[in-house]
Amino acid sequence: MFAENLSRREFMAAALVAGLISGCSRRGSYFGACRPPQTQSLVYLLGAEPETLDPGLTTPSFESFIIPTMFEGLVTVHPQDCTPMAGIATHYTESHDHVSFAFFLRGHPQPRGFRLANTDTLVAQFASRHCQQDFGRGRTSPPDHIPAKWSDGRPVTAHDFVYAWRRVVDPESAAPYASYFYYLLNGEEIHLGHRPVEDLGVVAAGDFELVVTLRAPSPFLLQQISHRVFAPVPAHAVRAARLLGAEQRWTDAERIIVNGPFRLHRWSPYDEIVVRKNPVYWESGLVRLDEVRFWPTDDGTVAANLYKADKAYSMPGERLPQVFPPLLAGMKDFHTGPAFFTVYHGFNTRHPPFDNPLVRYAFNMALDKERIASVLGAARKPARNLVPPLPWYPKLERLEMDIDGSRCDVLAHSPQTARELLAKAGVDPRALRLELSFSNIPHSRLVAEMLQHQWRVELGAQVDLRMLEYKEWIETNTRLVYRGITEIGWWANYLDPNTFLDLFTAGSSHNWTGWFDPQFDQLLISANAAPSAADRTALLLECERRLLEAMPIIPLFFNSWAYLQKPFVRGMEQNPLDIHPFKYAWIDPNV
Amino acid sequence: MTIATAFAVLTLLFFLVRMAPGSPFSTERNLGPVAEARLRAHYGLDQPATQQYIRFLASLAGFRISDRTWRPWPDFGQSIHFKNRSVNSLIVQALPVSLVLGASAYLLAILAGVSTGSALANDRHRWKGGFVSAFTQAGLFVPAMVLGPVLVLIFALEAGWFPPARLEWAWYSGHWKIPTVRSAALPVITLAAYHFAYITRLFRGQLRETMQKDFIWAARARGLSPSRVFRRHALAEALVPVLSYSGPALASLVSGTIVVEQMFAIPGLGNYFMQAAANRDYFLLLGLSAFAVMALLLANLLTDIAHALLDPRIRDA
Repeated sequence: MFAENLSRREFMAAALVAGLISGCSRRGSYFGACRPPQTQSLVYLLGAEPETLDPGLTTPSFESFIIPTMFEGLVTVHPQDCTPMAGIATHYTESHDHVSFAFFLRGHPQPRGFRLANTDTLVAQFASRHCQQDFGRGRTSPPDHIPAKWSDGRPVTAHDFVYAWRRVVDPESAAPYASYFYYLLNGEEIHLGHRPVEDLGVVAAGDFELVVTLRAPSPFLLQQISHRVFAPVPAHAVRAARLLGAEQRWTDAERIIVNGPFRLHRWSPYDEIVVRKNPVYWESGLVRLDEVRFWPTDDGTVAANLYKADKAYSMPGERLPQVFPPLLAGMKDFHTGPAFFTVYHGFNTRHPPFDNPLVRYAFNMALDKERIASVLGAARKPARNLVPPLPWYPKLERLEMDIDGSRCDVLAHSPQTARELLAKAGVDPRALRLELSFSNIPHSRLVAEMLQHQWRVELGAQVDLRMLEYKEWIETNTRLVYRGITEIGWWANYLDPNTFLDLFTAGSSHNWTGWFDPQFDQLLISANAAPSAADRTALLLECERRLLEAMPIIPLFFNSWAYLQKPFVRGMEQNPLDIHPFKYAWIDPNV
Repeated sequence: MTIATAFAVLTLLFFLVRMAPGSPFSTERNLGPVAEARLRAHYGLDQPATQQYIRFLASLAGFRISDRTWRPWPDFGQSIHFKNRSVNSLIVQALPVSLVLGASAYLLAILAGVSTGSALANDRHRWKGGFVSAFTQAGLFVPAMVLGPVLVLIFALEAGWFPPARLEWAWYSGHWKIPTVRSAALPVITLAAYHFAYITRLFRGQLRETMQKDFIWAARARGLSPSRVFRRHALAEALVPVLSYSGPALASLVSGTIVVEQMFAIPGLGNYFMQAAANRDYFLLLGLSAFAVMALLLANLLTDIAHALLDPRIRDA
């Protein structure tokens, strides 16, 4: 079944790679050579050419690996567990109603409130074995009263943040991530052109204090603002480029001004992006790499070849084509790990037969998700619910519903019950011609063929597969013109159930099912305003339960990261968001 | 006639790319109606299609209607995907890479093809002819997407003689880059294989036919040596069909080869073409297409000139 479902291109790659791997390597060995380079130069394989290096205009692509090397926001993320750590801010205070935050930036003479974790924390965590790697390498964090600096020597101030955030939310900028600022007071109204940007809920209270006011309580704010779109930009550099008539040219190598651990040395499209150590970075003493070379390679097989030939040393968690993980399993430099990433399929709930919840339950219950996850391999786990496992969030494994007087767990795999539900709904699946839309990205066809097969065998439903080119797939989903079912997935940016549940609120642009429920929206607002963590957890769970009761989606599997990394690359740990602060990375020549 | 065909192709392409489902601004992150409207206005996509078409035609002639300026070369406008980059600058950036690779592949194909073809035309051993015939058949029918990975597997990953992908630069100055022979070897061979096979068969067949012509017998009767007969009399005539084939082949090679550039992660025009289509970057797509059409026109012109130089019948006509 595995081989039957491969695309022609994948099959060819599989045949070649299988021959190569089986011929020259065994379980417990390495995939290719492992000779550490003599310099601190890390070669990292990207999936695609970035559209921009401007943090404010960043797009949902592999820029997530490059931009944070050059621009640092108020907070960064822990290299292992992705919790917030001190970036440009060292401390913060929070109002009692959780809608107002004050951030104290590096350089503030008297910071107050909660102290954010920093390198000292990492050193302590390594000593207590909480961290698997010595990210801090025994160093102490620099004093908080010394301001962080832009690469041209100017201090990074709260005004830079105000400028950057207003610029993103300004509709004139057409920033793809502007909706992230809807959590701020007036963010949505400004982006829709109803208010001036000056009304955004962010003000500078002096050079080193930033006051942020939210629209509603958002306990995940600290995590969310670690996203690259919240990084400051140097107003003077952007304005200078604008005067030349090309605002976005401010990120050209000869003009760019950065505040992160690395600065741009060269950007040669489709060839390489080279960033080199920034000597004026506030924690430059911790940075051991002299440079990171990012190589954009669209083709995952090419990426694997470059890795095998010892030309590249590491890659993102979703870079390898589907054929590789089974062949690489057991090799020392092949790693898999859980991702905070759910793959699910959406129903078009506006049209029959999926306007009927009983039909949606039936199509969910007919699927053997264990089988799907095992075929895909690479540590993927079957999903009964939407939110991937979190240590503090209970997993919703069962959902008993009362259907015509009988109890039924609608999250379970039960083809017999699925057939009964269809009968109760008065739907003859053999009379249906359904369509399953999916995009031309890796894995999608294989998953779609498995779904088609299982629905045909278990329900007798005829499902036509419709592979759409990416832009067409987006258009089809956002306009809700697909007929039947569509493939969706969500790769979260922060570790909180809100990132998944928020997708299904009425205002979400990613709610591609046509389903919305005012009570669901209200529950989510209440959860985020809950007075205690326990109350919030209970309400979030209630929220997810309400979503699954309506079942506008079929949660399919929790995705995983599967990647190759040379053993001499240190300080880069697997984590659920696949975020790697390169400032902690180094090359160990003694491995 | 050729210019009319090019005009028709570009016109068709102009309307086809706009009819393709999905917009340049469709992303998983909704831009919002106000921001999207402003972007459309910025790129002139809010204007009627006829106005956009007139603007496109004017840009081909170097006119920029928005600021009423003219340059003696086409101005394809701004790329939508690569923010604030002009299509011209992207072509200038990628062209040298495709040009060096394409020209190298073309030279390899023509030198190897003509040499092999002439060697075979004179050879009387049937088994050698059969062997080379099978070899060139394989060159014609094994696509680059198979040949490339096989070469990578054997010569890069197993033998370690060449890098499996990417070009390493021996020299560069501005946009002009010369790759190392080692890094360019596999992509050039992959690119050249088909053309080598085709040219070999074409040249061999034509040379055999030429060698039977009266003027060749006359030259031999005058006591000229076989090599002199070949160089002075047969070669020029046998090269005519090769030249006819070479014009479009050279144009296609230097204007970007999507499969090989993707396979070897080469930053050439083919890569841009593919991304422009996937991202609905109308201006980049049309600019690259117009460039490819111009390259074809130029190659055909050069072919005609070369024909005239080689064949006195054409020159006199």
